[in-house]
Parts: sequence; structure tokens; C-alpha cells
Amino acid sequence: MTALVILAVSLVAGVIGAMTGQGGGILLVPFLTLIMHVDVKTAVAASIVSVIATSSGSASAYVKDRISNVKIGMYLEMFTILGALVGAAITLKSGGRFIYLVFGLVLLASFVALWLKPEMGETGNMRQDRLSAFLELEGEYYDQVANRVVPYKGTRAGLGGVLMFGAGLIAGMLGIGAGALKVLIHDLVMELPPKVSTTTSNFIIGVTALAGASAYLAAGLIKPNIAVPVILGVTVGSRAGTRFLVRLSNSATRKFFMVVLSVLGVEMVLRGVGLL
Amino acid sequence: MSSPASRASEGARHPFDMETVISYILISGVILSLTLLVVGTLLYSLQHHNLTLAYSLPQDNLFQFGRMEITRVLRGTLTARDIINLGIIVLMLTPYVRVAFSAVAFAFIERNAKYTAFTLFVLSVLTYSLFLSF
Repeated sequence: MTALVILAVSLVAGVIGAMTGQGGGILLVPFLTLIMHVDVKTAVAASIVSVIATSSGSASAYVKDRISNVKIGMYLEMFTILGALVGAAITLKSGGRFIYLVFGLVLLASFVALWLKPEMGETGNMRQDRLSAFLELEGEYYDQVANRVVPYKGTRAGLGGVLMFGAGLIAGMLGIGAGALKVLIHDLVMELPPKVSTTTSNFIIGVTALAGASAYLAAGLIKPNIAVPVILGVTVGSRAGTRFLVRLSNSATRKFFMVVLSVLGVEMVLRGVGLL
Repeated sequence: MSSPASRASEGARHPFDMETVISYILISGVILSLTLLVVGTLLYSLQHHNLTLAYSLPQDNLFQFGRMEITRVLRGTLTARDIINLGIIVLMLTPYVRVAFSAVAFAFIERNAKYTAFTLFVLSVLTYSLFLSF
């Protein structure tokens, strides 16, 4: 019975995650801990394995269509995997309340980021610093709406790399893809076009999640009774959510998601400080 | 191969291109893994009359865990649990195989020394993580 409830909860997390473009993990861990009373570290471990499935599934399509930039992805993965290993080590060594607290703060930060969401154009950046040029951080993609090939260059590779270590750390520590954070770094620091930044972030997430997942596996935290229904539920849910995406209006999903984020964020923080 | 999307980087096109292979590695890994997980779970619940997977994984790293399961496959003593475990192993190995292939592709197809080095770095950190033990 519990397995079916976990499957259903994961399905919902996957659908909402995909509809809002945030990934399933950010809702999954709060759902599992707050509703299903799963131990927070077990929930984080199950979530990070499911992140491998969802990100690899969607990255497959984006890579094939040449929207994800494999080189930019590879370069940034050097930083995110180190971050993920450090993040997983922090979770393994710390108490449950600290994880609740950080998770709650990340949820509230995502709420704020969604609120302030800056408007971004579709035209590619063409300025580039020397390190980014040396690293060949550039490319082009075919824009279906505009029916043209959009060339672009990435910039500030140094700062981007350092910040990606942080994004990987959050991902490994909390068992989430931290896609929103990665996209923010791609957009605001490296000035990649939005399409390239979301799809390349997706590409990076799988490898980052693997680094974290290996640590949780070795620590014995991957429990089949939780992890298996979570993987199946989130994967099916995010497939379905991607289909929904086109039908629902953007602002309605955003508002709904902001409410969910703030409620879960406050609950997780309260748990973290011991008030719940 | 003549969809507008694939025309984007025609200049750099090789007969055997990295993106297409990476895409197939990712999707086939995920499909294989999910199939194993579904089949294993159904078999397990038929045998135990319960959907809850009441067993634990060995507290081992992916290398040890994988070696144990491969031994069982070779011996032919495969239970529902082993099928589920193989699903988890295949899932975790999917990004690993993708990176391993990228290293080969950057070295021999793209012939890009810089990116071969970057990819080998990622591959060695991932390999290290597969051997972690606590």
C-alpha cells in the first residue's frame, strides 16, 4: 500500500516539476518527508537517483536536436561533480534538522527567484572573455519558432565554473537537480540563450546526480522500497508534465508553483529550527 | 538527417557524430533501467503478495554492488530482487557510459585535446565515486 502512495506522490512531484521546469526533486523530498514521514536522508538519496532518470530522458532529446551544448556541459560538469560529492558528504555527516533547514531555504530562494524572474531575450550573446574563447564556449542552435539558426557565445567561464561548484553542492546535498540554479548561472553569468541554458543544464544534471547518488549508495541510504517507486513515479510524471506544459497558461502554473514552494519552504524551515 | 535542427552545425558534421550517439546512450539506458525496475517489481510483488520491496541493498559502492549482481547473472541465479537491482545499476551507469563515450569521441572523432582532458577528468572523478566506501 505504502508503495502505491509513494508512487502517486512521486508522480505528482514529477508532473508539477516538469510543468514548471523545475524538475521533480524539489517537491519530491518535501512530499516524502512531510507527507510520507520518510527519513530525510533516505528521501534525498531516492530523489537523487530519480534525477538521473528524468534528466537523462529529456537530455537525450535535446542533445539529439543539438540544443544542449555538449562542450559547455562537459566543462561545467568538472565543477558540478566535485560540488555534488562535497554536498553528499555534508548530508551524510550532518543531522536531519540541518538538511531540513537548508532545503527550506532553497525552496524559499526558488520562490523569490520565480517572483523576480528577469525577462530574457532570445538573441545570442556575442561578447566573450579570453578564457571562454579558449574553452570554445560557443555554438549555434536552430530556433523552430523564428525558423533560423541562432549563433551564440558564452562568457565569464571562470565565475560560471566556481558558481557551478555551488550548484552541484546544493544538488548533491539535497538530492535535487538544482536546475533552476544552473539555469540562472547560465543566463545571468555566462549569458547563454535561454533555450541553450535550460537544455544544457539538463544535460549536466544527470552526471552531477550520479556523483551524489554513488555516495548515497555506498552509505547504504538507497532503500528499494522508497527509491524504486520514486524513480518510476517521477519519470512517468515528468513525461506527462511535459505534455501538459503546452496546454496550461504560463502564469497560472507559475502562481500555483509559487504557492507550493512557499508553503513547503516554510514547513521545511520550521522543521529545521525544531518548531514543527 | 536533414531536419532543420540537424542542419545547424553541418560544417562540423562527422559521419559518426557524438551528439547522436550520446542521445541513444541516454535514452536506451533509461528505457532499459525502467523496464528492469517494472518487471522486477511486478515479479517481486507476485512472489511476495506485497508491492513493498522489503529488502535492503548491500552497503557497498556501485562497483561492488555491480560485481555481485553480474556474478549472480552469470550463475543464472536471478531473482526478482536481482532484476530490480540491475535496474538501479543500469540507471546509475547511464551517465557514466555517456561520459566514457564522450571521452573517446573527443579524443578520436572530434580530435579535441582540451576537451578530451576535461572529459577524462570528469570520468576519473566519477570512477572515484563508484569506488567510495564508508
